[in-house]
Amino acid sequence: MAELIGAAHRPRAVDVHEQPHQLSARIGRLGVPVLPRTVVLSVAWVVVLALFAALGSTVTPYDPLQQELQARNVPPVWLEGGGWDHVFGTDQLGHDVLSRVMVSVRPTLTIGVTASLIALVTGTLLGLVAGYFRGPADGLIMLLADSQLAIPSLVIAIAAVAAFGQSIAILIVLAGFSGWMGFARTVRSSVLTLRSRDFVVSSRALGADDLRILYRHVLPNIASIVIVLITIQFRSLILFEAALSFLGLGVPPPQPSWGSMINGGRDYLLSSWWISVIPGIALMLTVLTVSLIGDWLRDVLDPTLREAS
Amino acid sequence: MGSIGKIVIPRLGRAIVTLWLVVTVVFVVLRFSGDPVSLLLPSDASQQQVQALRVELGLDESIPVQYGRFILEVVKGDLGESLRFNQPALDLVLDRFPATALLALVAFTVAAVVGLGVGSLTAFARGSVLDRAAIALMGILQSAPSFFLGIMLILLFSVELGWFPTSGYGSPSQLVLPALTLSALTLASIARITRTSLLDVLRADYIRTARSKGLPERLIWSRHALRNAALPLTTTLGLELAELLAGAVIVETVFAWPGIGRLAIDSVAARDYPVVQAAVLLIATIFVIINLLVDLSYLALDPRTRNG
Repeated sequence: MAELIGAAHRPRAVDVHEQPHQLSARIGRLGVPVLPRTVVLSVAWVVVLALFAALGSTVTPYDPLQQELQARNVPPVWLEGGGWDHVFGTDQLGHDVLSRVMVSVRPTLTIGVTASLIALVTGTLLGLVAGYFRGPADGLIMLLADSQLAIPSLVIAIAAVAAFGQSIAILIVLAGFSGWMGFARTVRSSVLTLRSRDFVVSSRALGADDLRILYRHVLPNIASIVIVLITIQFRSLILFEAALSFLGLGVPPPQPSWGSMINGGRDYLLSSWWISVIPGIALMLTVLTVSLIGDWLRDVLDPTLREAS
Repeated sequence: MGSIGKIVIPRLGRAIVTLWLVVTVVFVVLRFSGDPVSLLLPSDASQQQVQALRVELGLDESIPVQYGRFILEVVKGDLGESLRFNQPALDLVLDRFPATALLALVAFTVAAVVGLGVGSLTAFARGSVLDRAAIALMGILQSAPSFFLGIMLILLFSVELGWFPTSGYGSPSQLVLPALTLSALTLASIARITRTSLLDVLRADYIRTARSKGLPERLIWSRHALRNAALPLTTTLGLELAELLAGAVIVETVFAWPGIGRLAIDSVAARDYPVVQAAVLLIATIFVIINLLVDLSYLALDPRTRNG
């Protein structure tokens, strides 16, 4: 065993970044980065989702709320008994699964995008204030961030939904304010190192005021790290919404959502597994594609963030 | 003694501030969500019942007085009566605690043992096929939401193979699928962090020194590499245990596991607000205690952080 370990390690334990990252950007002949195929496919999936969200129920094959009692638990087209009228089958009440998966995109993306924006704006502003001005504001903001990080947002969400009831607005507020801490902490630590850099110091010596320094020097330098954080945040907020919907605390019925569809099919796993599995695959694909896009952006925008792989 | 106090007190203070913030959020949520009486009483309650509860809850007092009373009650552990079971809410939640603790601890043990194993193995065999396959599998585990993973496990092991029951509580075979589901995400993060911190440690100067003075590989690993890689891991392990508790809320619902999480979710549906409140406060308290212990154990393990 000791031999094997030594052989595997001795000559190589120098640089953890030596292996080319799977998604690293190659620069093409015109200086334009060549997009890896996985990223192209991921972007394509996200574009399709955006179209579904924009068009809503106008493009679904069926009315997603319409129950067809003669066509309950119809299997998807590739299984025996399935047909092209219901490509992904129907659920226990005769809803068309494909139509419901398609209309679920709108609440998911609405909540994900709006909540990410709330988290982005509050987190970045608070991080800037904490890192640039320091003092008691810094202490207070970091205390709040650490305290909130110490409590799972799902638990706070349970209390809030119990009191206010289910609604898209509550979900946006809960998700938005569960995600600001990551932005605040990262922005703060970048600002702390930027503050003492030569270009900021000399700019101040030349008489620039705080607002100008923040706008001209600090913001452009934290832009790339913030963009990467947005993808991470967006992904975890989509999962947050799906988990709440699964628990029956998320998107209010009768509006379908992936999380509640997965939950709804749980009692029919023995006979009609597709009711849960199809929306589950849609959710996983979405989470995976957002991660892949995020990894790629991270490599392109800020190679120092790349994890040892 | 003085220096220990200087280290422990700020962290203890932060833990108390966190708990105070949670209690305040619960109070604000309760107060701004409309009339608490309508939450606490069934919708067909009579006018007299409403009035009696108003006085009993002190709703005729000013908001600061109500807030003070609320904090006092929480400190005393008086969280009201369940509306469904006519029992103190805290007792109901505490009754469910062993089930959640069992699930979380088994899942945590699986995740820690397998995660540390996979992490060290992939660090040993860096760049091999095994390493790449393990990284890909961990990536998939990390992007699968636990409720969907649980359903896929039920489909495979209960519906197709019939090895384990789909749900329930009591026998060891009923524990297998919930524990596996809950451990997945934690297992993946522990494996990833073990691998990264081992690789980091192996680049350090003292490892090169140990090698150049001819120390056998076995001793380099046991004396230098593993011991130093253990530091960042302690923090991770503690925080992951806390995350596991949050994940248990979801996994308990998937497998009908009678723990605190499922009680909380059922109580939301039944509008049993005192029980929801007690469950939220209990989970938050456990979280804060784990975080505090992680902080303190880090101090005990790493002398460098003691002066900061």
